[in-house]
Amino acid sequence: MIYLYALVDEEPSGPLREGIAGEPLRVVSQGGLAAVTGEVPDRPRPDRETLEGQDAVIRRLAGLFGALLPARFGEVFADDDALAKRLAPREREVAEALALVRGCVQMTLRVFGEPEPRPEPEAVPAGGPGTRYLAARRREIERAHSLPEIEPLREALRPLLRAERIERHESAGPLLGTAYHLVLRGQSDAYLATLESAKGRIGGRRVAATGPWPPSAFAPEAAP
Amino acid sequence: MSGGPLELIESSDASLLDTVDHLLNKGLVLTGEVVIGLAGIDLIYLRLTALLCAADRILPKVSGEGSEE
Repeated sequence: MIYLYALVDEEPSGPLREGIAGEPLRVVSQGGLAAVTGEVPDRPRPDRETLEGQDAVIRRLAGLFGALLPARFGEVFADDDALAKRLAPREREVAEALALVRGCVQMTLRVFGEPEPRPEPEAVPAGGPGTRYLAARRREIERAHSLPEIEPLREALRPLLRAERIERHESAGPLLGTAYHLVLRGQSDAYLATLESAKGRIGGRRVAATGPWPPSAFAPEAAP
Repeated sequence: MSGGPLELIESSDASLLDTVDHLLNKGLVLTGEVVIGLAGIDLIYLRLTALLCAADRILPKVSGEGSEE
């Protein structure tokens, strides 16, 4: 079966070498895009060795392309045609994501500490229960993708950020959420230095940043 | 139930957890099959969140900050 590692839109600047099963990697073109794939005997198992192996492959590949979108672990296809069929309807979306991540790396920022109290909902919107329900849903969705607790940090980092994805964790525990930040290659040290100098501004909460990583948080998610 | 999480935290660095998050929870998805094919993934991710929380409790705090609690 065909295993998908990443989507790209150009030729690699060096040899692709091997994938997680020691198989030779190759590029399969599809419209204006290309998929980096390998042929594996079985669906890879999500154990530690394989995950670390895939991480190493993706990191190596990221060095060979100006823009690369990692695939999620476990993306297998019966053959090249099956892959092409799945990719074709997503081509435009993937091309846009590749344009976004070109020349960039991802920094992953975990935020720990006490949540800020929820803001009071604004005046009850006019309309019936349906409108109120939708307004409440929208607030929930916005909250799931925001971390007002780190606003002062984001302000300091803003000149370095090309894009941002935020996930708030509502589960009990000190992990408030994660901000995935896209920065230019070569600016991850500046990112970490800025973070270091600004981390005291978030009211006793703590942050832990790792990176640079391939920009997996900036890949389009599953089709609806 | 193994007593695994703490051991895992102590025997590895936090970036392994990030690796797991990035590979299992992020990245381009073209197939719907991945969710079915790797049925344990949601569980693994829940566990990851727990691990990250645990890491915060176990790892020593950086000097001085937030030292009450």
